[in-house]
Amino acid sequence: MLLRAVRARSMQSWALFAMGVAVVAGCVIASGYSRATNGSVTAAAPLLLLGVVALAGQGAASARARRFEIALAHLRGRNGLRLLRAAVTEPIVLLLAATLLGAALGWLGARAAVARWADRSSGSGLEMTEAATAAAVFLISAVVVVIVSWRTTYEPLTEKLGKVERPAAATTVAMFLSLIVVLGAGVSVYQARQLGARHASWVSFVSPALLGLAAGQLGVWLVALLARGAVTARSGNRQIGWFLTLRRLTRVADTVAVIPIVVAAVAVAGVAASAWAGAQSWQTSTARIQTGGPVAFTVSGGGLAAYAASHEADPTGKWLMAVTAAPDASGGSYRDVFVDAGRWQRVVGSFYAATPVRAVTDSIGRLEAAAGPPIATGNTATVTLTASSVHHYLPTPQQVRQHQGRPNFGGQQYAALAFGITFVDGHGNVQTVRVPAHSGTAPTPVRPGIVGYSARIRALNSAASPCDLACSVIGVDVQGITQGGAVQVAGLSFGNLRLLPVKDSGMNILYSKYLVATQTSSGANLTLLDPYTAHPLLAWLTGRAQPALSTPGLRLNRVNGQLVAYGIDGEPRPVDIAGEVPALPFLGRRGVLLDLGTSLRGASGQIPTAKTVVVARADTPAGILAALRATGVVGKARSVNETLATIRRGAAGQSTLLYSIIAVFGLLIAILSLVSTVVGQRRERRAEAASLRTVGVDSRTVASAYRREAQTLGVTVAVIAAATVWLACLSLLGVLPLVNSGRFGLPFDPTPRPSLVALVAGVAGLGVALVTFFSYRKVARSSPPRLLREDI
Amino acid sequence: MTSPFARPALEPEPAERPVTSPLALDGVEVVIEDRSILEPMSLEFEPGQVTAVAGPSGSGKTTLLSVAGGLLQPTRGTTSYDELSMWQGDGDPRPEVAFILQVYGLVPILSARENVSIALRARGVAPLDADERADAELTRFHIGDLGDRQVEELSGGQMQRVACARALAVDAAILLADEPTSELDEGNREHVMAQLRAEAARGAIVVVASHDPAVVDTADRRITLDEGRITDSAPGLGVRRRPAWQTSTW
Repeated sequence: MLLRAVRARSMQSWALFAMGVAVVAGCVIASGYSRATNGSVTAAAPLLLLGVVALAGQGAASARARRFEIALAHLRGRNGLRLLRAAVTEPIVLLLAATLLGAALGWLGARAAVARWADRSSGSGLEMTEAATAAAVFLISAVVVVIVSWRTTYEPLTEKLGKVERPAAATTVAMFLSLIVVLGAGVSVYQARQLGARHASWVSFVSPALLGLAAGQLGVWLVALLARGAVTARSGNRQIGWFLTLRRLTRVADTVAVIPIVVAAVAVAGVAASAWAGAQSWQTSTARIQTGGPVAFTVSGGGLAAYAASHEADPTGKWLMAVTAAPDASGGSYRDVFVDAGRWQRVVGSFYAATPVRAVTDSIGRLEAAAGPPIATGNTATVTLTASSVHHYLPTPQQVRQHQGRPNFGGQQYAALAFGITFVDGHGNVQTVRVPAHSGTAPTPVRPGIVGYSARIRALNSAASPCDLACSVIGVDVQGITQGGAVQVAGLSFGNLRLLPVKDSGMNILYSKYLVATQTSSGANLTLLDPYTAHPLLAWLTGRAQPALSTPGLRLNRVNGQLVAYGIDGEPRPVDIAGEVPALPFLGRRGVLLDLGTSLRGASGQIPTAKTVVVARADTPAGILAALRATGVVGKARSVNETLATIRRGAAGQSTLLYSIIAVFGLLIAILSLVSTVVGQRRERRAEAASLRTVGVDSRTVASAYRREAQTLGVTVAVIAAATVWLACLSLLGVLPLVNSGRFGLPFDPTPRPSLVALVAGVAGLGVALVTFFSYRKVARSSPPRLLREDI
Repeated sequence: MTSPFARPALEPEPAERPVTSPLALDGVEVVIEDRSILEPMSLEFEPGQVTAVAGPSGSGKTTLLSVAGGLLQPTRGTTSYDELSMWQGDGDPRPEVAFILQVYGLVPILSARENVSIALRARGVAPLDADERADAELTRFHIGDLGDRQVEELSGGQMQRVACARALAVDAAILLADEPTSELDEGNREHVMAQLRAEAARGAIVVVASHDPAVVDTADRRITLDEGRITDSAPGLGVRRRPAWQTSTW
């Protein structure tokens, strides 16, 4: 019986069934995907809203199609609930079947989507969330269908059995609901903006759809108003086509009833498309900023090793650049990035051209990148002294060993005179090598009157030299000076670096002085120690401030009125802000950028949280890369695309994907609504076309009326959809949790893209126009007057 | 004094040459899905004459009118008027033909007046003139005050009279009426028949399909169908219970 009834109204039944499947499947996929990606299941709210509206319309059409049967049941004495039960049994059973199928398809779809895009399993079965979603959709849909069917049961019998179907005009209840939608849209947009992206709720998610419904409803009223005015204004017009079009638009609600749901779906799709486009741009920029360059090689050591490796492998400075970043997220001011500024323009100048970091390229010259730190390589530290001073002040290694570091000469105990050279190795470790060492060499005549002491430079926990690639000398101290006289230091070298490179320019170490003087011809500032307090005497205190680039709004600390930023070793350094830039590599929109080479001078190590890479141009010759790998400090290479893929699989990519899924199902629901509305009107229009042709209006005129109607609908949908999408993007794109940019990440640009908005709205308008026109044109051509004699 | 039923001239003017040729059905036969709806028959409907096609339901009356009016292509045979075939190839009637359909065939999106005026506008009458004439035609059938009503707001009888007004408004040379009085009371039925007779008096070919003996009796000629065959063809009684010119008092 039921199957016979379903078959008798196959079009209406299939439309209701298909709509139910689409709504349930869409909601289940959206909620399932959201759950699997740690999102909110309320993200499915816009789909549910669209579904309820579409099912209400389809339910009403289904009830209209069954009005004869309802009338017959009424005539047979059924009243009240019995009549209502007779009216709703068929659609409720269809909805139940649609829910079961939709839930199954949705579950499969959610699993596939999660596996495809989120790279994780969504679980082995239908979770409670998805099951509850499907049940909620069924219950809401069933209530809607019961309400519209209940309305049909209360229609007068004459209407239910009437030969002439009353054109569907807006009822008072429909008008009231429309007003509620319009007001609700305003409230929801306001609420969404108040909540913001971080506290977004279902109201935020549903706002674009609600805004679309409201705008569509306003469009319906506007079309009716204009059509009514146009009928009056064109009363003298001879064009029958326009006359028929305007009368239909004025009188029949069914014609324009599809506008709100289409505009709502397009609004959701438009926001999703804009979000997707914005997210693509954001993800690309973020990937570039996070990667640092076209290809980034992780460095096992610190900034010094990266600096030395890049300079060794690429002496021309064209292909490689060392970068160290200290992205301390807990603070706000402790965020520094150190780049080899002299290489920026050539290595990454074009790489950042399309990102907010491009401003750095314009300002990088202000950092006044000078020569880098004095880099030493080798495994031996030596001190050469005049032979006359050796006797009195320097014990032999054997004496040192014999007296456990405190040799006794003639009953007078002397502290051992030893030079300590403090250096930073490639890993940022600070060490000191003593010359002579306990296990060092005996004094060796260097030349007449000059003897030398040497010691091996060893790593902390191994016999290997830590300075095979690079070390930076940061201090020299002399211990053991107790009484008068002076030691003439003829030479002091660390590895291949001659700390006193100029002949006869050695330093005189005076016992009565607190300080030891220092100079180097390379210009490096060695940090020397106070021989009594052993406190570092920081060379930069007497130097000038280092130029830096800063992001806007960053408040740096001041020391003695001087702005200071944290150096690569974590110590405060005076800086001058040479310019402001909107974003920095690695750090995003908050931090300070300094020249790496300058920062390495005198830096006493490197903070542990700092990350160091060597970035390379995409077209770096293989030989350069091989040379870089040969330094032994670089590890795995990471490309921008790899970073981009990671970002897309993360939370930042999932939200836009989820909203895109919702948009696709929203459009599917809108298409089903459009098609079912168009198909549902064919019977009525066939009678109308046949009637018009009977009285002499030829089929071309009827078709032209339908063509103009299709054009009007298409233009209306396109214009309203464009305005709605634009408004939705402007007001909601920034407050929807589509892209999680984090505290310091690049801000998501919510500006609507005109071309995209025009494309989405244009396609929607064109689609509506084409579907309507081709369907109705066929009706006009295939509805000869003889159809009326069959009482169609 | 101008008669309230005086009608503005139809634009363009009806053919100046009065057509006196009959509506001819020559060997017409209609077979649909191997079922004979109309047996082969030849008929002529003369101008100035009201012909009643009588017969029980399913006897083929509506099919005969459809073939005669060019709505339906006969399986065999031809229908012609003024030396031209009635069948135009697309199922649309020729401009000389007006129908009163059993199901009225009113356009739901139009008001009663617009349903009448659209037929006039389709024949080139200016919209304002068409509206004016539509009002006159509705008044002719005593529903002039219903011009602004939508179709679904009319009763069956009112809709039938709107259909009559629409058909008679265009001064058609051939007027084919299928059960034009089925929903009417006696008074309105006689009035409608009087108007049809007036059309015949104008020179139109009027064919009325009906199983109502009262309608059949008013015809000049009567054709009886049964199961698609002509069982009787005879002059009608031509009963005029109330002259057409007296109907204006209604």
